Formats: sequence, structure tokens, C-alpha cells
Amino acid sequence: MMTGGEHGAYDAGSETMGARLRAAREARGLTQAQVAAELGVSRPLLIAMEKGSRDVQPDELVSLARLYGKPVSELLRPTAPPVAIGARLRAALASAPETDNLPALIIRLEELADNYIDLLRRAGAEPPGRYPPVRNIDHLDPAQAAEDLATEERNRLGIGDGPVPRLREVLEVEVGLRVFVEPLPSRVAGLFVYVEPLGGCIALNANHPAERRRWTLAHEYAHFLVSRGRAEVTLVSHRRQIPETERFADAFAASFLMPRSGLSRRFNELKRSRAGQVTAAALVQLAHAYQVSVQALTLRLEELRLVRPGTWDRLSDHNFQPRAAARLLGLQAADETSAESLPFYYRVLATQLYADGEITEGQLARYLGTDIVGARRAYQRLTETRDISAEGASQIVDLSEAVG
Amino acid sequence: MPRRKILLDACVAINLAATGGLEDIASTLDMTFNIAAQAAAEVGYLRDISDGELVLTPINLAQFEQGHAVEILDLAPAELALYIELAALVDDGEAATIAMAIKRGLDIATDDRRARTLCQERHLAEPLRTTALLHAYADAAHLTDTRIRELLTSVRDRASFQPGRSDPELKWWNDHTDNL
Repeated sequence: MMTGGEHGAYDAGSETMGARLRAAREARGLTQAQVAAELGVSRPLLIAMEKGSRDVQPDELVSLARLYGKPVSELLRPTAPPVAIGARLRAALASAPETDNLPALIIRLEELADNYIDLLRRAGAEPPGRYPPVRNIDHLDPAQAAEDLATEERNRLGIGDGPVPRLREVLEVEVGLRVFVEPLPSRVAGLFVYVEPLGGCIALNANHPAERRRWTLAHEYAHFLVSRGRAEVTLVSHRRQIPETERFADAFAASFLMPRSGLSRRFNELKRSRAGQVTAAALVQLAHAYQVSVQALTLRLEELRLVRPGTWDRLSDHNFQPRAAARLLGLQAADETSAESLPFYYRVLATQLYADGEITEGQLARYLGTDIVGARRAYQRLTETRDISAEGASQIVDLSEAVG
Repeated sequence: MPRRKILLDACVAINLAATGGLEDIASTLDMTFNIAAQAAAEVGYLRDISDGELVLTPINLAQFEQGHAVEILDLAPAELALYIELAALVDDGEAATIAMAIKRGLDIATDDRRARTLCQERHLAEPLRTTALLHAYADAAHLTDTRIRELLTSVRDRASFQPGRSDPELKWWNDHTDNL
């Protein structure tokens, strides 16, 4: 427990603070010897602080915070830092050697997860969601298993067989995935990692188009359903040899985003309305309705034998430009909320804590990853929605109803 | 007579910087605005429109130090323990500001609801607010209604500030931002 006082040293927990000091030092890439020298203490003393067996004096804590580039308030959080994220992602990266420059991203994800856990603690809330048991697909045909599981999940979530316009919100609130949109290396489409007490966390590449992020989200969702104990890093790959787990995840994404029954029905209706002719413009419109790329839609239609095999290749050969076609047809961009960096519930928690006078503007800014004026603007935007009262009155949002 | 010292938190400092007249406000009110270094580090940027584009204008409080409008303060060793105790509750800037206010017996200015509650819990005098400072300045400088409106809309637009419902000066603010 925090036992510090106006005159005392701090032993916040003490192992918790020790773990935080250690995590902060490692994130900064400093050795114990370097930090001990900077602090003017012996290395064994620093080790004792990081183990929680020696109290940290106020001046030492201030110096360490400065050295690690961390706010003092963050080092004082009473929950353990989610370092498992880094350990698991590093293990996943070991099998994907072509991805480097990810240490900064891992640190960023750990910070975001730490913030999320802190918000939940402050709000006395549980993360939303209903997790299904992990599905075993060993020895099953990946394509068929993906189709079956996608149908099952749609039924479980009660979302029928049509397009899911607010996919991210459904997966965040109904399933309980924590979805972050961050700039990732261009070859990385997304990643999945499971960490207690948050559960399944997904990062999507902010630099990818909305349709691609949506596909990656459904792809990572598949990993969550069948192998949530293993972290995954999804690369943009043009390799012919795709691992079975990735083929399964892609097949699941296709089936979940474009269910066989609903897509067939819509496609056939479209075909009937155009006297049996399906044009490239019709494909663009259908892709827009499902918020997937024209390529993904066409390949799915090929797979379902609704169009001739090789249709996408022929379109590509004719230099077909789906984005230009969409603009020509006056089709608007996909759901903008899917580009928000932070999870929906995370933002709601932070905003509501601020509205309730539980956190300061500075804390709100830190949680939202902006400065104070940026936090004010974000707060004003968020309170313009129906979820949070502009008057700042306490208003617990029932998230299961918010997207119902 | 030395100027009266008021400790500003980052939020009030941002608002006063947004007026573009922080030094004039300080001299007219015969005040020096003290700001904890931790709070000064949190002030960030104002939002301005230039050629139709939103631009971030950095707030540099240090520029006001030469004219004695602003004094950026470091925590003294004797204040560190209290600072850390408060940092477990609020952000570093508010913690440093309130620790200084308690230890140095200074008046404080903050609009932040959480910070104001904490000041009350620690038996500090009721903190000033942005609007109270601006109203006092407007009166002391005999500003015209048009000039008051310019002042307040600068704070509203550049700092995205809106007084809370419990702010005693809310009517004054609304009268000058809505009705002119």
C-alpha cells in the first residue's frame, strides 16, 4: 500500500513501485549501473528499490522520474505495469524477423494498456465484453472452420448476415477487444496480444486505409478466437507460402465481414436489378456497403463462385482504380470512428472521470495522448455525443445499450 | 510595494496566455504569476487559424519572466514529500502547484474541478478562477465591451476554454461572448 506521507519515503506497494521503476528504466534502455551512477547510489541499493525491499525517498523518485522521462504520478500508480505485452510481442517477433523498429511500439502499447488499466481502476469499472471460450481448430480445414466460426460469432453477437457498419465498436464493446490504432511500420498490418486484466488487445496500422484496417481487425479477431494465448504480428505479405494460422485468419476475416448468405443475397439482388449484368461500378458499391476493398470483395465473390474466377486479375490488368471509381460514384469514406487512436470505452472512461471531477485536465490530456487544449477540444467533441452529458453530470454509460 | 504573487496552474496559465495580453493583465492587477516548473511543462499549445488551417502555437511562459509577469518556480527539497503524496492523486503539475501553495502560503488560481476539490480538502483558501482574473482586469483597465469580447473569445477559441456551470462569472462571460 501507499504509505508515504508528508515526511515519509514511499514504498507504494512496494513491489509494485519497484516493478514500475524497473519497467520505466528498461523502457528507457538504461542499465541498473547507469541509473545508480546518475542517482548517486550503489547498484545493490537500486536493485533493492526495484525489488521493493528498500523504500524510495522523495528526491530519489523525482530524480528517477526525470531520468526515465515519466511523470511522477505514473510511477506512483498502484497497479503493476503490463510488461507481459512486451514479453509476448517480442516472442511473436522472434518468428517474424523482417519486422524491426518495433521496440518503441511495444513501449507505446504498454503505456496505453497501463493507462487503460489505470482508468478502469479509477472508475472502479470492469472492461466490457463477453469472451467466448477458445476454439480448437486443429485438424480442421481452415477455410471451412473459418466459415463456421464466423457464422457462429455473428449469431452469438446477434448481428445477422449483413454488413457491420461499426465493426470496431461491436468488437470493443460486445466482444471486449481493446482496439488501438497506431502508426506501425508499413509492413505491419496489425498485432494481437492478450494480457490480464485487459484481455485481448489489438493494434491496427493507422497508416493503412480504413478498409485494410477493418480487414486486419477481423483477422486479429480470428487469432483471439482460436489462439489467444499467443501474440501475433500480422505482416503485409505477398508470399505464396502463408502459414495455416494466417490462412485461417484471412478466411475468417472474409467470412465474418462478408457472410456467404448475406453477400449472395445482396449480390443476386444487384444482379437482378441490372438485368443480370454486374459492372465494376456495382462491385465498388457493394464493397462500399461492406466497407471492404474492391479486391477483397471480388476475391470473396470468386470464392463463392458468384463471379468468374480471375475477375479481380482481369480488373487489375485493365488498370482498374477502385478509389477513383468510388470518388466518381460519390461514395463517402468509411466510418471515421474506426480511425480513432484509442478504444471507444477508454475514451468514455477518461471523459467521464473528468466530467465527474475525478481527474484533472492534465490527467485527461495524458490519457488522451494530447496537450491540455487538445484534451479540452476532445472533451467538447465527446460530450457532443449522446453518451456524456455536456453539463458534466455523472452519467454511467451502459455500453451494451450504446451500440445495441 | 512588491506585486502580489498568485500561483497559476497550467490551465489558468494557458487561458491567460491565450489572451495575448498576459503581461498587461499581470501589471494592471499588480500581480506576479508564479508557476511551478511541472505545471509550466504541461501548458502545450494554443490553437490558431492561419490561412484557414489549424496551427499549434507553442506557449512559452519563460518569455514573460523578464518583465516580472511570470516566475517559474522549482520545488524546494522540503516540498518534495508533499508533492509526491499529491502526485498519487492528481497530475504532476497540479501536485507541484498545490504543494507550493500549501508550503509557501500562496494563493492559487485554478479552474480544474479536481484540483479545486483537493485545495478544499487541504484547507487552502478558495482558489481564484480564470474568469475572476479576467473580470478584475477588464474592470481595472476600463476595457470596452468590444475589447472584453475580443479578450474572452480569444480564450474560448485559442484555448478551447469554457467556464464551468458553477463559475460565479459565467453570466459575465456569456454576456460578453454571446450577446455582442
